[in-house]
Amino acid sequence: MKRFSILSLLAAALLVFTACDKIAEDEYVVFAGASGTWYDSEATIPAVQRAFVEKYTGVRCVNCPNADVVLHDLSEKYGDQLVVAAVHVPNNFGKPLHGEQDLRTEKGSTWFNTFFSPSQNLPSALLNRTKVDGNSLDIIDPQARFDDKIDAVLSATPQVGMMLSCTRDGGVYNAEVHIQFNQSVSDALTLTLLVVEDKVYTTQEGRTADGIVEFENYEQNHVLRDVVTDAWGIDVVADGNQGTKRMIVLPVSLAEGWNADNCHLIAFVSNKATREIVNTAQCNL
Amino acid sequence: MNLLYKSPRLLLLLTLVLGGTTIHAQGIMGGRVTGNIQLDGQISSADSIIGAQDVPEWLLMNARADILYTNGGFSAGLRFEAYQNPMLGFDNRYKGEGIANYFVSYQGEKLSVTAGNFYEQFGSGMILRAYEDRYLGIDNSLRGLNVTLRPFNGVTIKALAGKQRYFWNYADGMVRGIDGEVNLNSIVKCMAESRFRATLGAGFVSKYEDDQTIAFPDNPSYRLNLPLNVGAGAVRMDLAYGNWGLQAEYAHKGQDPSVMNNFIYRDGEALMVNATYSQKGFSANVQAKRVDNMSFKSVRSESGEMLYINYIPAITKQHTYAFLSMYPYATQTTGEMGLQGDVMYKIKKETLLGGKYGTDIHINGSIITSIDTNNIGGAGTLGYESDWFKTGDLYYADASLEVAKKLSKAVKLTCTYGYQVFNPVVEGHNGPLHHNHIVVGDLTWKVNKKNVLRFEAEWMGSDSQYDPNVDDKRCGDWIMGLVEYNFTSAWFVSVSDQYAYRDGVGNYYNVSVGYNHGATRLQLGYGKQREGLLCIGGVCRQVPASNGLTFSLTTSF
Repeated sequence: MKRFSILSLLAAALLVFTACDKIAEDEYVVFAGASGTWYDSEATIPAVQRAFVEKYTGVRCVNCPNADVVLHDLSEKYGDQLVVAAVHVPNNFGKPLHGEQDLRTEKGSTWFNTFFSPSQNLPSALLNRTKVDGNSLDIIDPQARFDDKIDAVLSATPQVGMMLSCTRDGGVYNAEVHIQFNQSVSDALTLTLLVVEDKVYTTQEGRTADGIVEFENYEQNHVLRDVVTDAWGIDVVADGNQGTKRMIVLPVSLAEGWNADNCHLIAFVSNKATREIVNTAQCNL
Repeated sequence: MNLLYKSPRLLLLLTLVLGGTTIHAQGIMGGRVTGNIQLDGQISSADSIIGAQDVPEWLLMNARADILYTNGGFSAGLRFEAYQNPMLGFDNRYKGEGIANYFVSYQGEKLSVTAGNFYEQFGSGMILRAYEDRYLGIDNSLRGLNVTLRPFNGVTIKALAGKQRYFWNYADGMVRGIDGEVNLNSIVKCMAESRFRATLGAGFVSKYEDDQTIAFPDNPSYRLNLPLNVGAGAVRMDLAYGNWGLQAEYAHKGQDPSVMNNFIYRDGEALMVNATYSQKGFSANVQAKRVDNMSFKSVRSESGEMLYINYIPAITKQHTYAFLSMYPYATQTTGEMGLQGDVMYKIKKETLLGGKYGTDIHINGSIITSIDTNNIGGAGTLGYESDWFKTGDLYYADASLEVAKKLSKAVKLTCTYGYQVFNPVVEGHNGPLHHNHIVVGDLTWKVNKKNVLRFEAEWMGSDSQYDPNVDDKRCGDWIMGLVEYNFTSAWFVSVSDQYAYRDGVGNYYNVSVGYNHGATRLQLGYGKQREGLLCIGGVCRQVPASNGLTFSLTTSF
C-alpha cells in the first residue's frame, strides 16, 4: 500500500510537471493585435498632412512636466494637425508612485526599448519617427519648442491622406480608417491604431524653485493606453498607386477604468521598413 | 589607520584574513558552526604586447565566506560575496557585495527539505543541474524549495521549484522539476546478491516564463507565439556486471525558441552512453554523445553562460598541463556529436618495460563534430532537419599518450605527447583549423620527506600563425619551463615561463609563492596571464590578458 501511494504520488507529480506547451506548426508566428480586411474606399479623404509626436515620459521624471507645457502650447497652435501620444517608459521613471495606477503599457515599452537605450534621458520625443540623415532617429528634447521641425513635416505634400472615424456597436467601438494614395508609393506600409486618454490624474514628480516635489492629482494627457494593432502595425493591403483609396474597420475595446469620454483613437501609417510615419489622424470615441 | 577608512576593500580584506585565521568551529546551542573563506585579488597594469588593459581600480577582488550551522539533521547557512570590483574576466554585473545565498535544511532518513538557495542535479544533468563554479563565475543556484523523499531503501524521489540566481537578482523564469531513481538490487529480493547491478531513473523539468513580444523578423506585424511552459524529460540507466559497466541517458526537450537557437521551434534531444571495463592494472571506457538543440535556459533571451537549467557533460579529456589545456573544448549545446576512448594500463613490475616499479600508460582520444543540419528556415520555423547518424564539421579532436614511470624511490618521470585539432568556430569566430603537437616532460624529485622539486618542460608546435586581425594569442609555436620547490611541507615556490618562439606573440613569465598552514592557504603570484578560455567540464568563460600581482587566501574553520 505504501509503495502504491508513493507511485501514485510520483505519477500525479509527473502529470503536473508534464505540462508543457506545444505550439502547432502553423501557429509559430501569430498576429500581434487587432486585424481586419481591407476594402476599396469610396470616401472623400482630405489631403491633409499631420504630424505625430510621441512623447516618452514617466511619473518619476522631474523634467517631464516641462514638456507637457510645451506640447500643450504646440497643440493649441497646430490644432488637429498635431497628434500627440504620451508613452510612459518601462524603466524606473515610469514606475507608479504610491501604488497608483500604472500608465506603462507592454507595446509602449516595446517602442521605448526599440528606439532608445535604457539610459535615455527623459523627456524625449519623436516626430513622425523621422531620422537624421536617414540613419539614426531624430530624438527631440520636448522641453523646448520645436515648431520648425513640425512646420517642416506639415509643409510636405502628403503621400497618403488619412481619415479616421469611430462608431459604437453595443459595447464595442469600431475604428474606421480610410487612406488615399496621393502619390504612388512603392514601399510597404503599415497601419497602427492606438488608444490614448486625457485627464488621467496621478502623482507626478517635478521640479520647482524649491527643488524636486511631487504634484498631487497631476493631469496626464495623451496617455497611451493601448496599441490596438501589433506594436508595429498591420500591413496596408493596397497597390500603392496614386489615387488608390482603401479602408479597414478595426474593433477597439476599452479596459475597465478608462473613461471613454476622455479617450481618443490615433491611427498612423508608417513605412514598414524604416518605421517613419507617413501620416496620422485622430478621432474622439 | 586612515587608509583603512579610506579603503573599504582593504578593510574587508584584513577583516577576512584576520578573522578567517582565528575563527574555529564553534558550538552554539548544541550545534556546530563551520565555514570557509576565500579571497582572491588582482592588481593588473596595461601591457600592449599581450593585450592587457589598464585597470582603473588599484585592486580587483572577489571574496566569499560560507557559514554553515548544523545541529543534528538541521542545518542553515549563508554565503557572503563581495566583488569590489570583479576580477578580470568576471562579469561586471557581479559588482557589489551582500548575502548572495542562504538556506535552511532538514536532512532526515526518509525526508530531506531545503528552503532557500540550493544546488541539485538530476542524473548527469542533461535536464537539470543547479550548480556553482566560483572559478567560472557561474552560480545557477535555485531559490525555492527542494524536497527529497526516500520512502524505502533503493528509491529516491526529488521535487523542486525555484528561480535561478542571476548575479544579484533572480531570473523571471520559474523552474519546476521532479526526478525518481530506483535501485533494483535494493527493491527486488532476488537481485540483492546478484553480480548484475541496475539503477534506473527518470526526471522531468519544466520552466515557466512570461510571454514577450519577439517580432517575426520578416514581418514586424507578426510576432512569435512563444510556449510559456517548456518541458524537458530524461530517462537513464546505470548497469554493471562484474568488471563491466554501462551508463546511458536520453533527454528530450519540447519547443523552446530562444536567442540560443535563433528562436526556432525544433524539439531538442541528447543521448549519452558510457561503457566501462576495469580490472586491476587496466581500465577502459568509451563514451559517445549526440546533442541536438539542447540549450535549456530559464530566460529565453539570455545568451552566454548564465541561466542554464541543464548541463551537457563534456567528454573530452580535461588536461592539466598548460599547452595541452591551451585549447579547451567548449560544449556546443545547440548541437554536437562526440566520441571518446580512454585506456589506462599498468605494466607490471619486474618486466622488461615495467622495470623495478612498473609503468603507467594512459591513452586518450576524443573527437567532436557538429551535427549534420539541413536548414529549412530561421526564427519562427522548425529551423533545420538533421540526419541522426550523420556528422557535420569537425569541432575538436584530441589524442594523447601519457607514460608515467618511477625511476627510483625518489624520482618519477611523466612524459606526454598530445595531438589536437581545434576549430575556432566553437569559440564563435571563423578561421582555419589549428593543428597542434604537444610534448610534456614532468620530473618530480622527492629530495627528502619535506622537500620536493618538480621540473616541467613543454613544447607545442602548431600550424597556426598569429594574425593581428584575429588576435588569437595562442597561435604559434611555444616552449615552456617550470620549476617548483615544495619545502618544509608548508611553503612552495614556483617559477615558470611560456614563450612563443615562432609565429606567435608573448612571453608569459610567472613567479608564485605559497604557504599552507592547517586549513589555510595563502598564495602570491606575479606575472602575465595570456587571454583565452577557461573551461571546466566544457563550460567556459573568457579570461582576458592580465599583467601584475595576484593573491589568494583560502581558509576553513
